[in-house]
Amino acid sequence: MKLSIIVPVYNVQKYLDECVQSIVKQTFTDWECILVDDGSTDFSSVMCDEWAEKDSRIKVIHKTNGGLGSARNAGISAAAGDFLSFVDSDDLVSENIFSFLLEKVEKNNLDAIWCSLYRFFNDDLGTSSVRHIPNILCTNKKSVLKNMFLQIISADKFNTEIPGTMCAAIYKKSIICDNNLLVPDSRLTNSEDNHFNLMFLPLCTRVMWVDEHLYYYRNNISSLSNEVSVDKVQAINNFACIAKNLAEQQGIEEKIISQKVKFRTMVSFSRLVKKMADASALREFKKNLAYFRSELKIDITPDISYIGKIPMKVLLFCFLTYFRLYTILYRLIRLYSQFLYK
Amino acid sequence: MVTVFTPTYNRAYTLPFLYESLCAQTRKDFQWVVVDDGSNDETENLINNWKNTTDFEIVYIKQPNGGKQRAINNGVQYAKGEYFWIVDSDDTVSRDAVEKIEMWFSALPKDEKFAGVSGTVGDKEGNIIGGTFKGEYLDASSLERNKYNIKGDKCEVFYTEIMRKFPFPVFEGEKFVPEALVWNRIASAGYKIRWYNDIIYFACYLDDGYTKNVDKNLITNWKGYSLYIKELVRSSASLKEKAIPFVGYVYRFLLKGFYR
Repeated sequence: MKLSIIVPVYNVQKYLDECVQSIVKQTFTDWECILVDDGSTDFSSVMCDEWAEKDSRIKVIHKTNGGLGSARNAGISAAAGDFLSFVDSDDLVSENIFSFLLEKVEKNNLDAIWCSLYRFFNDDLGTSSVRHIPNILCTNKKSVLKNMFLQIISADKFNTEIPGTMCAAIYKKSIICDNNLLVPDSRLTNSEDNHFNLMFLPLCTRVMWVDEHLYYYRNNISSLSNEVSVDKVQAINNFACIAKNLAEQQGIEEKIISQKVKFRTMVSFSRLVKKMADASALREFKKNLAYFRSELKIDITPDISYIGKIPMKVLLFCFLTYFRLYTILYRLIRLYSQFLYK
Repeated sequence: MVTVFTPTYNRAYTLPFLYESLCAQTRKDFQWVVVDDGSNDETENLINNWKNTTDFEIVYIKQPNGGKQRAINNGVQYAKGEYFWIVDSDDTVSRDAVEKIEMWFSALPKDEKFAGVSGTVGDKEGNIIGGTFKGEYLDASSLERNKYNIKGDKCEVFYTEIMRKFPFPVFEGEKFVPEALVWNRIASAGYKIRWYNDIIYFACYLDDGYTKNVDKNLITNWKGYSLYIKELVRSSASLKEKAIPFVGYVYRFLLKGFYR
């Protein structure tokens, strides 16, 4: 059983060594690591070549910049393993992640498996926060659709996190290749991981989510995902459309699809609203919110029956947005932020 | 002996994890009683496959769908152990859970009125979910425990005799009764529980579970909920402990009006 570990690399000279080091230290040894240099302009390219020289299991692909999706696809094409795993070049993995996951894969004859992750900020592993994912084993397609697919669409994040990433996972390569699955371009949806998994899951019969923390995900304070622009709203719209199409293809009831998509949109939009309030003054906030709201194609009208199904905070934000009570919303968010940082 | 009791409804996708954690127990002398509340997934096959492969006895009973409270009443009848522990189908337990429970029970003074013992709920990193107290253990009734900061979900293990003495009330057409109703009745009858700080239970809160759908659950099982509130208000709990649930009751009463 061979594993191909795919690492897309783009201008990560600061973190790349740590990442590859954690892969090289694996207790499981039957792997190849494909570093896909997506046209880096810093020392990353050189560092990749150096690693390939140090360890024969490491291979390098240099390509012109095409984004995260294209880098992962290049890795998939070059992979020789029976199973694939993706590691982001600024993250770290625990030394037993692959032995643990592959053991589960073999024992349960799985098509794919996800584990949970630690999230830490910039350089400080001490800031790791632990969020739990549910322990689920699906053994037929109906169960996968009901217990995993729909949850990824609604991105429910109450007490438990839903594993929708492409990292901290192992995929059976034949399912991806036989079905010509391509990782979508990250610039269109911001949720290319979720998108890929929504395409992948319906092709599986046996999938597991296991709540073991084996992957360290680095949150970058300055990263792109923290920007606030109308592109974000476009991304939300795009994803909603994609999720709807994929769900319809699986014959899921339209009513259920709409609700899940609506919940997700409410959560994403609320998050965006909060970032906007934190980043701008009242007048700018009101203007932008009105604009973003008009660009949003999904209805986020809150309903009493949603209480308990989505976080109160999200319901409240959507309620205030819907009734255009922007000033109150702004004050509330600012108050909440202040309160949090006391 | 401990009877681990699991009521389940269409949870074939989580049961394997509970099963594994039971197989990993340091003490094998326990019994697992599973009452299937009318599942239409692979639960039956799954459990039948496990039946003869384990060191511990597995008893599987299927009942027509009637809710957790009927399942518990049903399961108590099949319990061979002196101790009865309700473990939900989407949760898992620590490797030393049964061992600890046996130890705790044998340490209970026989001349005092104890209904059972309780460990605490947490995660594998050692974080306790809910409130906690200083010291190894604390003796208090279910009605008093909030006072000692023993807050939130705990995992009570009762003498099976007590479970038989205090069955769950069952209302026609209703499929849920708050567990606390029975725990409070036990407390009102003068029984204490010995609470421990050890984490023996790992909880999960799933989309289709009771916790997520609290409001909907309570509203559609109104008689059971009302009885719980009525008995709580009349109990010896502190005013504060009665006030908050009562406000919740009024809120849900209003919600009931709007609910379609």
